[in-house]
Amino acid sequence: MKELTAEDASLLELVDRLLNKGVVLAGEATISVAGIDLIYLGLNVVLSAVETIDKAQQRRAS
Amino acid sequence: MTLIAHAIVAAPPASLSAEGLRGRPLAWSGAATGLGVWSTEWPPEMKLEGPDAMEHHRLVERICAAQPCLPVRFGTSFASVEAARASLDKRAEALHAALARVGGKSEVALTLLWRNPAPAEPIVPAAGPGRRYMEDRRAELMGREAQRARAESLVDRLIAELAIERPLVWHETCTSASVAVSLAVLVPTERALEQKAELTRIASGFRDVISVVNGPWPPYTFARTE
Amino acid sequence: MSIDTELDDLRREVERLRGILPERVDVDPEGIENGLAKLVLTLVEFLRQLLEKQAVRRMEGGTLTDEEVERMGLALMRLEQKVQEMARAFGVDPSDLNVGLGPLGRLI
Repeated sequence: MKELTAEDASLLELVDRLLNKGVVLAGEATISVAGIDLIYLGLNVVLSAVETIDKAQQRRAS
Repeated sequence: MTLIAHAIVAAPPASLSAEGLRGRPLAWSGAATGLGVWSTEWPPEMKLEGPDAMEHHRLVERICAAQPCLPVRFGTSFASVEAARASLDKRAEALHAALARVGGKSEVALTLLWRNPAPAEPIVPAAGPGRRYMEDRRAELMGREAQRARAESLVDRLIAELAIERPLVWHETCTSASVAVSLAVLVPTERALEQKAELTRIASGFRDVISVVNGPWPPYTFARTE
Repeated sequence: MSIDTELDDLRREVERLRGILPERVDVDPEGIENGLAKLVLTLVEFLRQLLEKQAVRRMEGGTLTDEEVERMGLALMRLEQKVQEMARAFGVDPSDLNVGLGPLGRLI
């Protein structure tokens, strides 16, 4: 695994802010950002599956 | 014309001489409930790219320097000015509250990077390849768990020394192999540089991590509606 | 032993990415093919890592014989090799398959 320099870390943090933070106005259209992997679309589907597994686990534990 | 939103502010808009993304017009659209949004007028079929994100950041910085503002997620767009107004009016109460929380404030960010890579592999005497593989994985896992525990204790120390209320601090641990802690603090803009120095001082006390401090930035991390 | 930590990791990663709505994805056809391969392989790799963690915990539990540990290790080694082969077959660098590093690792 590559090691991060301080510069890399700074860029990473800023891009994280720009892509993942800031107020989201739900239901608004967003314009596609070129160069972002399709994987991120698919992971939304996985989240639903993960939530289902988690709820089932919680039910069994309680 | 589609609008690409940058930041939400309370009326009246500051007088801002700036262009929008890629030199396109920057416009302010005011809604009935006293809020408005600064946006770039944009052709709907055109795609945003990496450099536009950085330009958006610079625009948000300028807007926040001119008046208290609430940064909007990059890429958020409205089909028209009417759509923008309607959206703001619909969420007026939540947006006013969010703006009150972060308006006039900045975020300062601290990243702690592991100074040394994960510990070396174990020596397993006279074992088959399958067993050696399992022992390697176990050593890796234990190393990661130790890292996670250490990262959490770093966060506890930071928060204790910063003596800041919890809602004004955000953090994540072990966000990648190199990053132990990613932390952000919301502060009044006029105190941001002071806070940066404070974070640098506190973090320098930790021997096993390299600290990187960034900001002041617009309050992206804390810009959300409850 | 629960798999909560792994689920937390995945959930946190996905929540971070959730702000990127489907409309924000570039729908160029060639991009989609490459994207799908990487998506599937990343999920397979995530599950493989989850499996390994579970196996290590079983080993630590002390209920397995030496032979069982050896067999388990060999099976997991083969699985790791298989995933790497598949990745290369699709033109994906195996080291790109780590969900934990996040999307932004690509920008470095």
